[in-house]
Amino acid sequence: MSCCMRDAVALEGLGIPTVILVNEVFIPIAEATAALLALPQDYPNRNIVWLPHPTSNKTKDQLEALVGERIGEIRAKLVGRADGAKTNRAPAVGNGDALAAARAAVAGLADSLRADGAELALEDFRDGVLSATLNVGSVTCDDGSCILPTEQLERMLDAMLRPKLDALQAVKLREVR
Amino acid sequence: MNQMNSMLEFPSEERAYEEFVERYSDGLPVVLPTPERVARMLAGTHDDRDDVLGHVMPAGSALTIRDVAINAVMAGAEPRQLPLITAALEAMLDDRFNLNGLQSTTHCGTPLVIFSGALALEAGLSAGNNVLGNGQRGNLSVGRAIRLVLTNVGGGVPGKTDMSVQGTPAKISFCVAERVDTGVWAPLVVRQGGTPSETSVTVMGADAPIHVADHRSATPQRLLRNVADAMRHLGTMSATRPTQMALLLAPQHARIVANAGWHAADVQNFLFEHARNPLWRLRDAGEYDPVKTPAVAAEFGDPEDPDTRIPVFASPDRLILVVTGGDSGGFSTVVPAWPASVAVHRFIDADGSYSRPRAQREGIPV
Amino acid sequence: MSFVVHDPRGGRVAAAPALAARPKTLAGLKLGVLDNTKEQADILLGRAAHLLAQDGAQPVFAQKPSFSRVAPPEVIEQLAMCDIVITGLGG
Repeated sequence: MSCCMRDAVALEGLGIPTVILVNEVFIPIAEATAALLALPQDYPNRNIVWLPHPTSNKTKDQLEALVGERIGEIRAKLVGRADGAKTNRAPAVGNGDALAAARAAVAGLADSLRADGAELALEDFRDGVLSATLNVGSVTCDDGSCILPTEQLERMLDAMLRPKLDALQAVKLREVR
Repeated sequence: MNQMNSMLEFPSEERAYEEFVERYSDGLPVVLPTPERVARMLAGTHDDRDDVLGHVMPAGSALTIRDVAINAVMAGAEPRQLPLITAALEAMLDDRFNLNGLQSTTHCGTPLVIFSGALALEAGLSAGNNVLGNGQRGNLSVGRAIRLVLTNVGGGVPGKTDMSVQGTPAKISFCVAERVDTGVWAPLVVRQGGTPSETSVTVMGADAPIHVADHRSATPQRLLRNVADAMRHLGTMSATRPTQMALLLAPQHARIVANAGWHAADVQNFLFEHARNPLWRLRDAGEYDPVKTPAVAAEFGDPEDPDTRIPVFASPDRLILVVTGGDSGGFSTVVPAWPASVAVHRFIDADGSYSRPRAQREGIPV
Repeated sequence: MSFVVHDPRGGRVAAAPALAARPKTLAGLKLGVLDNTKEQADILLGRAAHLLAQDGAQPVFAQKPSFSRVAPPEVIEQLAMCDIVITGLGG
């Protein structure tokens, strides 16, 4: 998803309207990527068309029907009438149990990662440091095969949580098997 | 501090210097990239300074030749070195090199940059005594310029995106030129398919270098068995994930080999056979993986047999063999790989201009 | 007194990326279809391209080698010759 968005940014930068069709389970990654790339806030809404999750268990006919139902939105985003559905933003977090708040804030992202076979767990929030683990099963990131390198995910978590957790100073993400 | 287009304005030179050393340097003093200095640096290229070479990960920022020139000024490089720096960066932007991964890994990995050909030496790079060390103005400036681009444009900043646990001094600069005057065998640029009048740049995602001292060996076999011993040390990632590896061979060592009638290919073949670890030894290695390592072993023998020997680089031609250093002793350097990257090389025109893609021939993995 | 130097950070200092200007109609436009090779992307994009062709767009198909990397320069160059692009991945 993150790489798809970078492709879209590159193409839009060349003056080519680009629309991305993607499963809505990746909404949190789209938001986090937009934060990382310092994109204007409504960027994901203006050129992404979301498909309902799940898509992996649908037949060809069902998938084509999903596209057909959304062709108006695809068309509108290619010719500039941006009236597509808004992304779901996690609610701002107030005072209280900071770790629970952080968990709530990243619940959507955790769902996205689970869809790709990785389990994100926030373990501890102490002295401003949020400790988290990412269980990736047999996929490693150092060989370039994973979808989201651990270090990049750590920066995404930082970018997502910093506006919501005043006490946050650092995110430490550890990969486990 | 204001931003005007791609210029930065400061109340004074002193304030500019403080900001640059704090935010845009490798920790060492930098030369401020004033418009005059950058214009002088750009005189070193025939190319359009707004030519976009690619996008440098992890930040993904576009890199133009002007951006290369800016960072080259900061590193203290000379205009005649700009085509070399540009060629090296363009090679690193090749997808196979995996700059994104190399910039963010927890490993000490950093690019090793090898120039082979007369142009590099004419541009002020060195290939003699202390080639990897201090005092090598050309090598250090070129290596540093490359590194500053990776940090400033690519966003590979220590502690923020660059998660290297210990790093290595090679992250300041890691750049060598090949000796072309020893006569032992054809230089790397020719073995890569170039002509003797061309110059190539080879970039490899590298581990920290390993030194090999040998003043006893008088035969290629004895010498290269010692080199193999250094190559197969269990603390490298290459031990369990063979890709490529570099051998920076001292001229004295190269002469021992060549005087016995061996060529570069003989060195590669011998080391491919001898720089290996048996599976039983790898089982205790720090990077052993119960699924992946036997899968790798299967490419070289029976994965169930504990005596199956796994090489530290994937095939003889994946050993990047370069003769470099002074003539005064028998000290060579092995550079294992950061294995999630494939080494890439590019050729640079004999007249020093660097025009993409017209004049270059694409390098295949060495 | 002010002291001016070049910014060493490259493309990062451009203004926040703007969306490209949109055309008024799809008729006659070259439609780049970038398949990122994740499962089902071809079905979804193929259907979208088929429907948009009925509005007069002319599909041009391209594929990138890996969904976990950005599109290589030669693919971007190919798509840069189109007027609009659709891309995507499944779940």
